[in-house]
Amino acid sequence: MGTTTQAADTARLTIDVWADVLCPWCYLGEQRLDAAVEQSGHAGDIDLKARTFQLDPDAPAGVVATLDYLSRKYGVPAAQARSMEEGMARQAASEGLKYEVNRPASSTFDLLRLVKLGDRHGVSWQYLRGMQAEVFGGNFDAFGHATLISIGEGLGIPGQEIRDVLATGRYGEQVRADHATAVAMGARGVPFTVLGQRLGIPGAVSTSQYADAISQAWERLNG
Amino acid sequence: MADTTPIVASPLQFIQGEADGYCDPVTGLCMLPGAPNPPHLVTGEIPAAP
Repeated sequence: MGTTTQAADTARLTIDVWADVLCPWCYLGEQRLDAAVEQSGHAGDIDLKARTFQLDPDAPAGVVATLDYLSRKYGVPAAQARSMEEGMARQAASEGLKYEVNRPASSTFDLLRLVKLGDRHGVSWQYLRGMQAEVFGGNFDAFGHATLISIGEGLGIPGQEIRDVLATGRYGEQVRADHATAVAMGARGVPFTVLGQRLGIPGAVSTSQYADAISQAWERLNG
Repeated sequence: MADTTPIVASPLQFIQGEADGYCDPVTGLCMLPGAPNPPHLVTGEIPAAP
């Protein structure tokens, strides 16, 4: 973070995003943020970094249907859970995102540990988004080791490193530390985005709001 | 090793405006259409120091 390129003498802008794999607003917010970065004119000088925030430590260890999970979690009838999800699906579709109402849910702790492994390889953002694409795309094997290894290998992470993390508790402390950091910083909504270590955005905002924030942060850094 | 460098974010300034949606970091509940939502979140409020 904060390194200076020799060619243009501009400082790189790091954008940290605290998110969870199952978080619908993270999924939408990340898409908007990616679009804002592309529109910024500084995409080559911006580093997007996923920070982890486990929203439901009590989520089931096994894979369950999201509608059943939400019905229990929110204490609403199954029909209401479906209606809630269909509303989000329409919102996601309007933004070009696949969002299956019938999709898997499970504990995300192991996935978030892998995001931290991805961080070691400089692909935390891509790994998180790859996992979300599988989950929200309705792949009921999204939490399976084969899927997680396949996504990671596609990003250049050696499969054996992924297997080693899955076989151990590695990066668990880092996941918990990320959570504590976000809380300490006053995160009142997830996704929680921090630009240039100074400008915070709780929750998912519009692409134009992300673009304005990038412009502000860039100006502070390089203005 | 993963980057475990603590983020230096004090003082953190929040953007002004309103979030379209979010998940509550305490309850884990997310704003979903028709759901019993967490309190409405308006960005730009800097929380009181603990």
